[in-house]
Amino acid sequence: MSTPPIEPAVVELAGITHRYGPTVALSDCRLSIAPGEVHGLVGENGSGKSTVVKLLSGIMRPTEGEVRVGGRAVELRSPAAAQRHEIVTVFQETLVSDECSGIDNVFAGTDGIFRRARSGRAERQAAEQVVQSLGAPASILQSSPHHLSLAERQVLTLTRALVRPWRLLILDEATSALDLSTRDRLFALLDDHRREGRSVLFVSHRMDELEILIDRATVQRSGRTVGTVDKDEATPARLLSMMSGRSDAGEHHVRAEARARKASDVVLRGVELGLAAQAPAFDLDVRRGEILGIGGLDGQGGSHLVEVLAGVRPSTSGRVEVDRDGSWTRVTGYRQAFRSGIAYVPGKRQEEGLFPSLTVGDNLSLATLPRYSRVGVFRASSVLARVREEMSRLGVVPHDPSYPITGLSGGNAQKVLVGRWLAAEPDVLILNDPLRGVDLGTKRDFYALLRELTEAGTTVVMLSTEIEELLTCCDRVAVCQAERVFDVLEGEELTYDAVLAAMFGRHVDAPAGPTGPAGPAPHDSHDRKVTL
Amino acid sequence: MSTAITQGDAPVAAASPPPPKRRAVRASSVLVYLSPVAMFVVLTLTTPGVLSTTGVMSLLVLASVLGLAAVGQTWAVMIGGIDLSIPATIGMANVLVTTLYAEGWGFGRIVLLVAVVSLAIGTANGLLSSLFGLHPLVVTLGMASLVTGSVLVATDGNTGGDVPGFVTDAVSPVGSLWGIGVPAAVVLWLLTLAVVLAVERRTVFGRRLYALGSNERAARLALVRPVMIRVVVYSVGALCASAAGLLLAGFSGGASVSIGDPYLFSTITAVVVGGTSLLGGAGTYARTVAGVLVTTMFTTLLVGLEIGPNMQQVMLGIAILLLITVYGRDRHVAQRL
Ligand SMILES: Nc1ncnc2c1ncn2[C@@H]1O[C@H](COP(=O)(O)OP(=O)(O)OP(=O)(O)O)[C@@H](O)[C@H]1O
Ligand SMILES: [Mg+2]
Repeated sequence: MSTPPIEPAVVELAGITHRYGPTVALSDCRLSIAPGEVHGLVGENGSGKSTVVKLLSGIMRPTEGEVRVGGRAVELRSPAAAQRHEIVTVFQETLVSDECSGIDNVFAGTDGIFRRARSGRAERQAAEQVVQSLGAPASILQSSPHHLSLAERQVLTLTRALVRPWRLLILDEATSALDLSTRDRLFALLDDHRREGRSVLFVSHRMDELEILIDRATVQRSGRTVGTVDKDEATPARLLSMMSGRSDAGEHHVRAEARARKASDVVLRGVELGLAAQAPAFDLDVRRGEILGIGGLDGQGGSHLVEVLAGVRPSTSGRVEVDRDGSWTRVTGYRQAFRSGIAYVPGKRQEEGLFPSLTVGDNLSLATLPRYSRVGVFRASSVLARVREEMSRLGVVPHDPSYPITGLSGGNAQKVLVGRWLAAEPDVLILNDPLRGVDLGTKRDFYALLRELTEAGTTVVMLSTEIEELLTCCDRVAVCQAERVFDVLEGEELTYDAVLAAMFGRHVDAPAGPTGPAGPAPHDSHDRKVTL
Repeated sequence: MSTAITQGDAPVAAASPPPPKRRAVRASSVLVYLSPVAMFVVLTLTTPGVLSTTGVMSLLVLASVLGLAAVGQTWAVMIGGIDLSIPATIGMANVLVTTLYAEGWGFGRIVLLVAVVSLAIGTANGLLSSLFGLHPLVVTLGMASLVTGSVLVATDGNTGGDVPGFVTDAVSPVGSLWGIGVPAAVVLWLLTLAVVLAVERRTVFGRRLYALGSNERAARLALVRPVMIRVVVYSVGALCASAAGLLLAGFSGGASVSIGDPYLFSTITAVVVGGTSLLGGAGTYARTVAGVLVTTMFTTLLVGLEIGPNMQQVMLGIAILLLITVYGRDRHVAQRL
């Protein structure tokens, strides 16, 4: 047998078909990852990306077709088998057990009946080193992950992969919960590994990330592989049109006209709010009919702020008040907030959002059932009609209310969670990073939907980890830093640089430039533009 | 309010027939609901006398008692808990009915008292397992001991007693309510079944019950009140268990605080045989009914084969272990990735 002219692919998929029962998730899928490359895998929600990931990680085996590792056909029968081929994966859903400490989560699965989980000194140091290189405090390894933010949980799952020996690292939207600074550190880390000849399969909906990171990209559409393109061809426009099959899909998303809302017409306000014990108090007004964006690095108070506004978390000082027919009512909890017209879409969709054993329809309708009921008995037909309406408004695929929620792709599950609270038709809709893992087309339509809602009088508060998203869809943006609102930007001041600067506690005209000593240099800041 | 989100190409999944998991569930539920039929065939072939009106009715009466006792177990399991106080509640109802009736209390007053005590037991179970973060296993075990102890103290261990004739008639296989040829116990069970299933399927409470069992944290944020659900679940369970205790008084005619003891194992068996996942968030009382029928017939079969009670336990145990290995594998972590 002659040796092949080029180095064999690290991993190769050939003619893969995968069915979940009658659902065809992949058909004729082809993918080849070369040594030392970061290979992008892109496609709309439900196009089969995570299915590819699960096939490569030994979670499932393909219905048809061949998986090759280093040129040889293999059967990846279990995650352990994938691990033996030095394939490690960070899955889309951040599965972290609250029952054991961070470090035990990191080394979970390395133990056996006669072998203890390896969390000796050397292992602990290795884990700490990875965590710190991602800019997170090593303390997240010690405690139970119960109180960790989504980003910190993501850091744990990244660490879980990176402490193992690997030749191929698979990141399935593992960056979607990370803030900018952690993401840049991760990218720097990946760069080093790439130079050492390791490969990365990178799944993301974020065009800016793909532009920065990838060497080649494979595009999926409706379970089929459309093709693989090289870096210079992989422009957002090209990728988007390949993903959707439409030539106009690549148009950059135009930033919506920011609308000035009357500063005096306030629906929700924080008065002398304190988010953490030592943090300074601040006031925040949310104006009627606006889309107020909440930005900031992870752990700087953004997530706390939306939770406090929604009544999910008590503030350490001060109060939140909502306008109820002309008089201020204090928000004391999320039930009472809901009665006052506030709905909250939580951020951690696995832990705080979805009911894994229920159907899509039940997941979507749960919070609003009482509206369709008399003496506690609901009218199934009205509920179903509403569910269908919400599903088509958000483009949930498959359009089947009786589908199990665990059978939806990550992005589609996220849409269902948003739909649950859209169906409540609240006066104030508070969203904690609602479009995590949602594809660009849907995002664009969602922004339009939010606009429409606000034109009709709804007020929206939306936290996002993406600056582009804040710029694209919000009228004003409140940037949190050090557990307080550092700045509220609007109109002319609302620019990429201004938001970025505020995240690090600086104003744009400050001499030190956009990144202060508090954070790392952005990986590739000149390359950042609004590319939605 | 009418922006329809446009998709490029609808993914293949959109056009395809119903999903796999539901089909799998359907397949296994067909098995669950067919198993009583199969069991009945086996029973009629091996045990003479079953295939008669009286034979069928006596099976159904036994099933009614177990069925009522298993309502609470089913719902407790569906919210991710378990109810170990069911036998004690059965015993409490049994002793109160027989002793108080012997003392000349009116039947209505006795039923009222039993209902109040049951509600108290259920409420305490629900509150304690919500408020202090205690596991329902511990709470209901403690409650069982408390209830049994109190009954013994109150009655001085007195086991005499008497029951009204209509209670005895209610559990008699040849009994007939309003001349329709069905014993009252069976009618009571069927009514309960109808209500329980309607609540599970058609009410806000039912949906919230599943949501709580599926993901408590998410349920809270979706405006479910876990305390309220738990209190109702354990109270309904205690009420139904009391009804079972009352019917049991019809068999024995005397008071026995330990008359409910076999029902700990058998209610759990019925739930598991029905295929309701012990992890919570899924299942239905309808499945438990299938489980109840199978368990009752299985026990009758063993008795018919002259297998002693100890050996019966062994056989039931083996059956349960087998079933758990078959059903217990659902909701694997891989499904959540
Ligand atoms: N466990 C399952 N049971 C049934 N259908 C499934 C299951 N998992 C995925 N599917 C279906 O397979 C298709 C592909 O899903 P997949 O998760 O691979 O999409 P994806 O490209 O990762 O999407 P996203 O960007 O939203 O994460 C979808 O139509 C989805 O509904
Ligand atoms: Mg996915």
